[in-house]
Amino acid sequence: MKSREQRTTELITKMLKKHESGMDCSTCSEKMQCLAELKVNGGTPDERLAAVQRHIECCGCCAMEFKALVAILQMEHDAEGAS
Amino acid sequence: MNPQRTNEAWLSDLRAEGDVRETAIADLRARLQRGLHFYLSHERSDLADRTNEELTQMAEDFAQEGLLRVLENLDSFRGDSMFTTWATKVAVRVAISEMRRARYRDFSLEALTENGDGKDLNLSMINGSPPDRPEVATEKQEAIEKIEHAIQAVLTPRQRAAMEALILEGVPLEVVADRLGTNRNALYKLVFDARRKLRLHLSEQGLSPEYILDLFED
Repeated sequence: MKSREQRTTELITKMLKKHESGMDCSTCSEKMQCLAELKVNGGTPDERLAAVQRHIECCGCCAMEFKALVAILQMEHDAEGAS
Repeated sequence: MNPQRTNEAWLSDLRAEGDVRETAIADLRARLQRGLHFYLSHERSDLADRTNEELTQMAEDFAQEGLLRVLENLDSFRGDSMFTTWATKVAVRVAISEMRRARYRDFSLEALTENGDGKDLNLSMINGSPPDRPEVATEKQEAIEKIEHAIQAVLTPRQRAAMEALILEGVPLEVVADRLGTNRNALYKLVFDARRKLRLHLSEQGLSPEYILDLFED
């Protein structure tokens, strides 16, 4: 078991190294599908979607959902291209 | 089946009555199910031991739950993407949230706050590195005490436990939010604000982020 001092040290160093995003998860989720479509279609995000991208880079939950969405869209994109 | 519906056609058909609506629902359910099955079977290494029948059942359940969520929230679709992309996003979130909650079913914030109270380890044991020179060990000890005071000044015990769960243990936001009786969005904001306050408080104590990272990182 880690000591309290050890946990404090780990907590503070990890916290200080972690990127921050002022965008919350709900706002990210509202726009995530636009970024996912852009990614699958090979586009470049504008400032609005760049902010979504920054949130995804510092939020593990949103990152997992975004990755899943992109994977599914890519599968559908590939399937439509093959048919 | 009409997979080539426009966004307007999806919305119109799903809001219609009778066979038109039923057909649109069946089409959307099938699409969500296909996508989720692909995700579960190709992107989730933690489900590698599941049979195809199990994955199919999971995809069906998540697709049904996602479909209900989509139908409840049709008015929130803004038309800035394809309708099916938006619906897939909703279903993906349902699926991942349910799997997270199942995985962390036994997780307890209280247990986290009960752990790590031992004081019997010294700093040289913390990272397994050789013992620090006495002056460095003293500097670290003083810094940790200031950090502890800062944490106590800025965070409640539950906020600290929440941050430890999120940052140290990697517990998903929504699981911690469930335990705190709040939601993922509110918890994200709470932690975001707490981190800002803590950074500010530490800087006021002469502990800049650069100084702390330089002191404690190898």
